[in-house]
Amino acid sequence: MLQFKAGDQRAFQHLFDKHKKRVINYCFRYCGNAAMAEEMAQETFLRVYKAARRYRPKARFTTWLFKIAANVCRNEIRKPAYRAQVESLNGNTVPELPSDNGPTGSGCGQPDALFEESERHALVRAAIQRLPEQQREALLLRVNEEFSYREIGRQINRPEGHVKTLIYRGRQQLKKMLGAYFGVNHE
Amino acid sequence: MSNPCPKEPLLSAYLDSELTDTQADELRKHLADCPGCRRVLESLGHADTLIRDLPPLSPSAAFDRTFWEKIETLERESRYRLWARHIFTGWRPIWAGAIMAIVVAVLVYSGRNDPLSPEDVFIAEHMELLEDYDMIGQLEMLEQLDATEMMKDLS
Repeated sequence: MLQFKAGDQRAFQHLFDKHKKRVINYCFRYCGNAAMAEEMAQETFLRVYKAARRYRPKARFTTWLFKIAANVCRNEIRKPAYRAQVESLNGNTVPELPSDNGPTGSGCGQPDALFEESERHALVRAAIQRLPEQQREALLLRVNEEFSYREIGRQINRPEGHVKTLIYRGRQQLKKMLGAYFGVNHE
Repeated sequence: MSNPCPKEPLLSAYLDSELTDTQADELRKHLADCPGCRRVLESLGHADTLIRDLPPLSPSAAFDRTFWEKIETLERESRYRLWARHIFTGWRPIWAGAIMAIVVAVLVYSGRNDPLSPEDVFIAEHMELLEDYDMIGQLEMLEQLDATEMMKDLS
């Protein structure tokens, strides 16, 4: 990032190529819509590009990057267009999965297992989207991106103690919403 | 059992390796003896597993292209803004001079639209007569009075 700040355009291209998948997936898990996730990821990198001159290396670059991504996602899901989309999905118990991502694991190739797996993914996605904003942000930044509580606190502007509570409550909420998958021997 | 059961947020923090070494050691000892807390820990960890198991999304074929198009648009706008700022701030003395010239030109032009009457020119050329101007006005009034009286006589 410092190289880009100094005027090296290729450094930005390198950052974009290196982090785009992570950012897209963070946005996708946050909003549950592939097209919207791509828009959000692009907006995130555009903001990075615009803010390069003001960049101060106070923390890891990814901490800053995901702080921006979290802000973008938060702003986007407050828009009426997103709410309308979520409401339309709420009636659909099995949202469509991206076609280029085949199923993984032992169920591959068996229609019933494949259906179960895709249903589980859809339900988990829907449950994540029903989490309150801050719980969702904190949980995804912890579980998927593996940021520390301190880093998450910086990203969502909350003290570490609050982050700890948010993550715990997020896990509890998921457990409540996805009770069937929390059995002793699920699948 | 060694210690009372810890609060669940502490178990969640343990899962995230966010406890101090001492706290983690104490908790490990407790977990070894407490199947209830082990179950809670396992269920909290299972939430993470469900999230991590979600298949990743690959960027669409158009993702890169549309992004770089946006960057290009941004750059173009940025160049335009820079140019506009340069024009309006860097050339400030030139702008000031041009505006002054326009103001003077407007004043001169507007003056030409209202040419002086021959009387004004005459007065301007004979300013010494200005003192007698009131007197001339009074003479005109006397002439008019004379004319009125003549009319009366005739009638």
